[in-house]
Amino acid sequence: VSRGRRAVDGVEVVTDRRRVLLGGGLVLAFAYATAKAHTPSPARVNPKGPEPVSNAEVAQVAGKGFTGLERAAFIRIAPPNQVTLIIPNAEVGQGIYTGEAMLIAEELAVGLDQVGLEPAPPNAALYTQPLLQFQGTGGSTSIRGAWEPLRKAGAIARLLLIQAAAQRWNVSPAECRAERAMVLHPPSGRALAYGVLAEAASRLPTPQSIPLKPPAEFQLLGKPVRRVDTPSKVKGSAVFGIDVAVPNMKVATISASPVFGGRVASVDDAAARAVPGVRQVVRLDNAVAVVGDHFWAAKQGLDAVKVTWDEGPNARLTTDDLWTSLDKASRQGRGAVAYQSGDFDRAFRDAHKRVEAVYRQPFLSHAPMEPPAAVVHVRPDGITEVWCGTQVPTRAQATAAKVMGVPIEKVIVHNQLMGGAFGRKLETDYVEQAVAVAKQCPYPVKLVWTREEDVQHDNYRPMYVDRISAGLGNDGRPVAWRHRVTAASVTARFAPQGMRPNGVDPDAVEEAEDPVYGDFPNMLVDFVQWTPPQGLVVSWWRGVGPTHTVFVIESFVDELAHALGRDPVAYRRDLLRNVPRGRAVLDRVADAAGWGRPLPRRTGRGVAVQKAFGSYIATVVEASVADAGDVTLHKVTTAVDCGMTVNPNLVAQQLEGGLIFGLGAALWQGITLDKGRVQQSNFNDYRTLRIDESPPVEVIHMPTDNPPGGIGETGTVAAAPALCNAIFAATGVRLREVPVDRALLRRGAPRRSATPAILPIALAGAAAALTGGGEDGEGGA
Amino acid sequence: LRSRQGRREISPWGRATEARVRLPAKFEQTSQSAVGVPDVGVAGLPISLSINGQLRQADVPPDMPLLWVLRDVLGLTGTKFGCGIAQCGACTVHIDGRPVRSCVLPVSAVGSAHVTTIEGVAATPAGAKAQTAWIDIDVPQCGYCQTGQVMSAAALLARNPTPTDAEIDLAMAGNICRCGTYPRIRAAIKQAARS
Repeated sequence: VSRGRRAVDGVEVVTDRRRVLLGGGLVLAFAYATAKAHTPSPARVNPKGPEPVSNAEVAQVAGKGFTGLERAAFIRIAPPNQVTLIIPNAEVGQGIYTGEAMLIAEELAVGLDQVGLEPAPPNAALYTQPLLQFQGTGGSTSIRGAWEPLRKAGAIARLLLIQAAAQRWNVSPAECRAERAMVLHPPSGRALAYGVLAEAASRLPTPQSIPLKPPAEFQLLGKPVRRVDTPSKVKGSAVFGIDVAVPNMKVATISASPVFGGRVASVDDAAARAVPGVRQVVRLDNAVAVVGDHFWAAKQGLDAVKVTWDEGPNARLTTDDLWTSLDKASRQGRGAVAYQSGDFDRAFRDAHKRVEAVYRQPFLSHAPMEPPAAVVHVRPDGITEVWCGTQVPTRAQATAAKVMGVPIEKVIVHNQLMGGAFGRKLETDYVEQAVAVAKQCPYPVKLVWTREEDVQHDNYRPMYVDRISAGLGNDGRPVAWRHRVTAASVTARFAPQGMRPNGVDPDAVEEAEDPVYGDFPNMLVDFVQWTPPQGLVVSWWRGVGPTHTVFVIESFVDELAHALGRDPVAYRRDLLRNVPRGRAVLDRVADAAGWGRPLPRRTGRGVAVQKAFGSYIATVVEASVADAGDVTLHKVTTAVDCGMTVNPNLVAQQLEGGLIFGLGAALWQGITLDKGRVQQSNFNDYRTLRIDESPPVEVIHMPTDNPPGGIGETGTVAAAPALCNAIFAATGVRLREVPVDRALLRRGAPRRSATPAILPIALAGAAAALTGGGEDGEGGA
Repeated sequence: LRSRQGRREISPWGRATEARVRLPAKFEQTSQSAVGVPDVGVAGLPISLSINGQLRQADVPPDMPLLWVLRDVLGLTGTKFGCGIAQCGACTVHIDGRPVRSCVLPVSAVGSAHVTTIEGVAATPAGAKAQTAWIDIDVPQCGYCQTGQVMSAAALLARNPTPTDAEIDLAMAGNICRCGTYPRIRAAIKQAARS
């Protein structure tokens, strides 16, 4: 292996002449090394706005990701004509195996029916995601990061294969073209398969110029192609992490301390060992696992174990305690400034009208359909093999290596299809447990969590308290804007290097520091980091920061419209006067949803606009509220401009599903604690939307020539604000907390805001001036 | 069941470009026998089961749910574990053609009834229709619940070849999909009914 490095325009270019022998065939392999797409920026306090650190803004520089070029491993070609694409991102249901395969196939000139796919193994040098800066799948970053480099990988391979064929035929490469994994020479009618050209191509130097097809010449990209993984998922042959079986494997299930942060004090496993099929009871520091011949034996054994827990300091913890603490932090905490311009205090004091509100959002569990599971074999030769679905292969590998006390080279991770993730499999707790259990067993072990274990021992989406105030001018436009986010920081735990030096978690303020409407004059956005009790871990949940911030902003903009007696769509059109993409999707969705047309009583439409992840989306939810307070979803219409689009079929899928995912959460979901224990346990009390509660979803795709935006999490972001705005239109009740509290929506219920019973906003310098507006924006039903 | 206003069929994916793709072996279960099948050291007579037209034997406790016999003993992993309390439908199989949640069905209760799993449902006319429509409409996202969805849909179509919206909702309300594929599930069942 020889390597040369040189700098071109300040960008490090790595060339790697490595050739990989596989199955007897000499193969050709390409990949891109990574470089920093962006570095975490210091706090910005200037009128120009924040540095490009939010996902939406990074979309603008996505083409600069993967700046080093390295031949390694996105494409393998072997005789006779076997083409394998290595997909850098993990398949969690978003269709990335299809989308990223299309990017490579378009330029490589192969059909999707001609290729095999493999998940990328853990390898930070090859597969670090340029927007995330680690090898991971999340934040709706995959296509934004892969859009250019994966096409380039395909183009380089195609150019080299054509060159190899031209040399063999002694003709000009310009006379040749590539099609369906063959190089053709039309003047002579000759053709050679990629598989027989791969060896010669691998010896050629990388071309200096890598022209990519203009969009007008795309044959695959932009088409609503069916997913590559559908048939196996419909026939039951698809293998998820939980389905993996290896020879002589046993099955374990586990129970962690019911109180967060608790420890095992003592274990009486006599009864468990007597259960037929139980092989072993394994004690960990904070959990007990039972290993059996099959899951049922393990589960029966676990039910029979008598564990005494040292419940620790959280034994009396309740959700009310957490809200009280969060609210105190929100009022008294020191905010780290995410964005500041002008003089909020003065502008707010002098405003024509003032409106303010406090919003609360609960802990949420991910609850993917496939419960956490991993197969681990601690082999006698010192290698640890792990089979699991993970969004973070290198973290899974490092986690296993740490438990085993070995270098990462001694750990092999086989990534699997995931039965949903929604952020759950950005965590490696289940891998850590599985390795810890398998380490104590003389056979491979599959650890499978029960659903109850999953709901009660998830790493939860943070609870949020948002305080937001606006001063409005004579024309109704904001002249002062104040937004304070208070929460535990996911970034500080998961990727501390991503925190800004002044203490801002960029995820928590994403879209708050840079709303879809553009900068408001005299704007101040800050973040108060709240420290949760030890043992309570917060995590990313589908939609990440924007799911929480867009709920607040789009609910609040609705409040502003109603406080002014303006129509919510008309008011947003005015605010979007300088945001043509936002206005275009809003106009389109308003028209398609019949905005303004009469509706039956207690039925309403609600709208939300967003640009999270670089995609402009406007959504209208139509819902009715029964006299008893129950909410029925009638219809959802959404218009999406996600720029250049790889596969409209996947875009439609993600909008349909993401909206239903988010509507279910807004209507039903919240994780609550009592005595330090989670009170929900399974799908009976942690409700998710069912088919008879789900509305039809109409997705209007409005592609533009802008860089691709992220899409996997966008529907979830839109759901709660559009729903709560529809409920307001139907009932006049403003919900400032989710999940929806039906008691507030009963006909004749005391008219009050659904703002939590916490003190009015008390932001430094602004509190004394609060006179107009008031907390209830319930004027314009 | 409540009625809904404004519901209409949506099929932006209706004219999808054909893409037949072979997934590598590692994504597909090629054998119906699990390599990791343990030798179950439980006393008692093996239980005989008729599964997908074949006679299978399993030496398991009589109260063991059918789900775990299928998955952990017989290696039929197309039937999924989602909740363990008959709330999500991921484990749906047919017992003499009726949809049943196998996570709460003791294996001893199966008796001589015929068990059909996702691996065998293509042999039934309704199952084949449902699977064809599911692929055509591109229903799955993560796909984990979809085998259970297809089993519930196949059972519905077998007894009611042209279900209404309300009948679809009633038959499918026991199957949860966290990815939110419900609009396409409705569309696929309607397409299967027309085929």
